[in-house]
Amino acid sequence: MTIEQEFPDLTQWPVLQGALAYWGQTLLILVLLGLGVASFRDIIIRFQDTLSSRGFMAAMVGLPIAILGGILGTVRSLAVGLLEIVALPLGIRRVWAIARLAIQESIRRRVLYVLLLFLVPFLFAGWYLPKAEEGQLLYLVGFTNTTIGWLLLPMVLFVVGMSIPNDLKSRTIQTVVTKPIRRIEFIVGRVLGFMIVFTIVILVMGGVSLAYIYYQVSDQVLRDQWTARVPVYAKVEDPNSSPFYFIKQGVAGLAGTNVGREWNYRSHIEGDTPDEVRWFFTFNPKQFAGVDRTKVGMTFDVFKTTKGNPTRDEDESSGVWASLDFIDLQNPQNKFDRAFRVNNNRLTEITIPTSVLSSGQVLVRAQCVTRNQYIGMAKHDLFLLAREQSFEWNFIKGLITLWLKMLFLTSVAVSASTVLNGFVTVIFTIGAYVVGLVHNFLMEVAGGKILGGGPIESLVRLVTQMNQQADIEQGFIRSVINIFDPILTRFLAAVGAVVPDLSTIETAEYVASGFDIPSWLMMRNALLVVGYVIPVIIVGYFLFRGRETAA
Amino acid sequence: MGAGEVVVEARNLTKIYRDFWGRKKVEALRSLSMTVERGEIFGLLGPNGSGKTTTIKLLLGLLFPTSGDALVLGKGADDVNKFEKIGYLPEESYLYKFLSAEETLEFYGRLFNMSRAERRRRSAALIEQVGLNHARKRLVKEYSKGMARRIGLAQALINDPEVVFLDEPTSGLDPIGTREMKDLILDLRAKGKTIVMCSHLLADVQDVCDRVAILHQGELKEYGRVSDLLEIQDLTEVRARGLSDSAKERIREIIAGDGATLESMGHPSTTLEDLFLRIVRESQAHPGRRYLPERSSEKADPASVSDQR
Ligand SMILES: Nc1ncnc2c1ncn2[C@@H]1O[C@H](COP(=O)(O)OP(=O)(O)OP(=O)(O)O)[C@@H](O)[C@H]1O
Ligand SMILES: [Mg+2]
Repeated sequence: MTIEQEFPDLTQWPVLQGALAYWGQTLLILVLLGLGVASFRDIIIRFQDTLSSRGFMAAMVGLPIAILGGILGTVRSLAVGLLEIVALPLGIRRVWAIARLAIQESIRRRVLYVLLLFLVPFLFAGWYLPKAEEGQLLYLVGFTNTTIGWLLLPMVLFVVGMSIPNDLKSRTIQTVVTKPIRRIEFIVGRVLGFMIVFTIVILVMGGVSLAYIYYQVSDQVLRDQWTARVPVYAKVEDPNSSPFYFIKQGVAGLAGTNVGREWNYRSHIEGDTPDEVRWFFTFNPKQFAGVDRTKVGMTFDVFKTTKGNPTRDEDESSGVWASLDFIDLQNPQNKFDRAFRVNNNRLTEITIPTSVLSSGQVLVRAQCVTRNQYIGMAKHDLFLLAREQSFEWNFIKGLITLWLKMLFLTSVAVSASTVLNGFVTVIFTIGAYVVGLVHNFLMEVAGGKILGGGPIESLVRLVTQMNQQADIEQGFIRSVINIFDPILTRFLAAVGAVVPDLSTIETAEYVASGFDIPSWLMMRNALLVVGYVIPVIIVGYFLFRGRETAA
Repeated sequence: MGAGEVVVEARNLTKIYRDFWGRKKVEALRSLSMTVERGEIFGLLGPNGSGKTTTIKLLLGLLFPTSGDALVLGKGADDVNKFEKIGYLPEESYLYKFLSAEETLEFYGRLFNMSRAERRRRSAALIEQVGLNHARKRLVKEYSKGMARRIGLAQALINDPEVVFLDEPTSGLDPIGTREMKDLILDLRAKGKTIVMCSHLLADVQDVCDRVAILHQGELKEYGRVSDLLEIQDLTEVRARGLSDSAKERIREIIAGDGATLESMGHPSTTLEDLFLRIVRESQAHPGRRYLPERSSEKADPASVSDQR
């Protein structure tokens, strides 16, 4: 597993503050936008009413009043709406009544039979279990997470998406909304009820999965990989200095020697020269307390300029060697160095005395020892392994990520279903999910970063089997492309902006490869999803308030 | 009209059903104005599709008026607090089929923020009252129409409401059930509740309602006290069984001797039914006109039938 992209650490208060401010700003823009649209609609309706009852002249004369009335009416209903949202805690019993109803509905409608369906794939999963120890956990964790995800998805879509439309169709809603219940309580109650059901489902499925994985993997995997390692990466407090840099021919810089690798994630240093790489670590030393020796993990790239396998196992003296110096920055006398053979692109582990980490501020210098060979490194290629966490808890953290995804889908489905019918809600929710998954690609298309042009241009190329780089001739098609592609691109950008990037919240890989899911990632995921869910529910609430429940 | 406190009020209430594109489909209610006072039983009458249910739904905020205002307890559509004191029995019992009678009342009780003890107490009393004690644990989806109706009524009364809206309360009920329902309505009035009900079963309405509004194709045609509407001051009706021809002759003579005129002597029909049919017929003959009981000219009107004047 390599970490290419870095997210801001939201466990740090200033970072979190910034994120919240940004979120609030976005929300405000959303509110103003909604206010504009709603007022406009109100004004049109008022105008039309006068038009149909008293004619064109009266309507024109009354237009200023209609505009004023429209804006005031909308502001008023917004204010009432916000008050109801703020008063939500007062209606907790009603929220719970609706939640209970959703749970009872799920149980009585036999939705939980999905749990049985869930067991079916397990009968066959064992067939494909890799024999090699390394792949087993990867396969099993991937398999169980995928299975749970794919079984929950239709459940969310059909149970949640159909729920309010069913209420409207069977008109049961009419006896509910004529009770003193606020629409926000109704929506939140629905989301809450379904999430309770999904929590139970996820817990049961997760428990079964965990037991299943435990009994499927070999003893050796249980010994070596049944854990959640906690890597501590290079970090400095000062945001303006880099915790990782190269020193090439005596000059510090963010890159070393370019050996011509296509993937420029890593940069290289040459063997048997004074060139070096430095990592600065700032951390809480408590994470390492209690043990004499601490593991250090590395994933380096070896670039060889001589023939032969540089990392042959049989020959101790062969291969590419590197040396590491660990220096306590508080007390430079406290240091440790060690040379070792580098595994090419695979995890290499060495152990160091924990005492060198005691101050919580450590400099690590790396040099390549072997002449004519190069070692490639990046910031995240060297990490200290803090006290390990349990695999089980890590697995549960992985399930929480899944839960967050379900929360997103559930609130989208509930909110959409306040105005759309069941079928359209399902399609809409699938759409939101897919956009969330291919978010990256979408933004690239929208940003013009994809070879072959915008959506229509790409379509033309696809249909006419034209090369991605060949020019499309001037003429009708070119004009169509020139006109519509920018519009579509904007549209895609807008869609991308309102749907979260669901691909980045994925955490199953951490669990599978035995790394603890970092708390900042959990935090970020939770904030990302909740940050979306709140406005989605609020939008759903206003849509629901604006609709007749008996039409 | 009396000077009682107005608890339900419609002001120029108009409802036009529109399709998805905002095009007009039906004008279900045209400029309805009426008031209901505290403690009375108010009946909305009219043929099928005349806008009775639409009126109730507008009053309850289930529909939004195209224009005009609907106020219940002085509060408009977006004030949900008023529902604390309102009960509503819809046209058909729209209930959650996967709940039992007890659970249904339990659920609705929660929506009123009732405590557990209060919910228990209310729901047990109501189940008893609507005669569903034997089926309290059964799922509503297994209920017959009348049973569903009864639990629907219990649901409407769970909060001991001040104003009760009943949409066709007797539909689906057997004769005993109908009788019980009527007694219950009268009983509610005795407790000072206000009832707004709609029906096309005139006998029911005549039995219980204090005042009525008669709708036809979304227009208010007649509105007032049932006794006033039906009473024709200068008319005396004679009903007897087994009267001999000579006796009839003598009665005619007495009437003539008194200086009065005998209009007719025959089998009178239910009077509300008369009024109702007359309004419907007249409305069909003169669409868009409010029915005016033009008492002196009515004889000349061929459209008014079975008139006993
Ligand atoms: N949801 C709707 N969409 C379009 N038209 C509707 C809708 N609901 C009612 N209408 C129309 O409005 C008119 C009044 O209907 P309403 O249900 O109020 O009648 P009603 O007096 O209650 O009749 P009934 O005695 O049959 O219950 C009818 O013409 C009906 O077709
Ligand atoms: Mg009706």
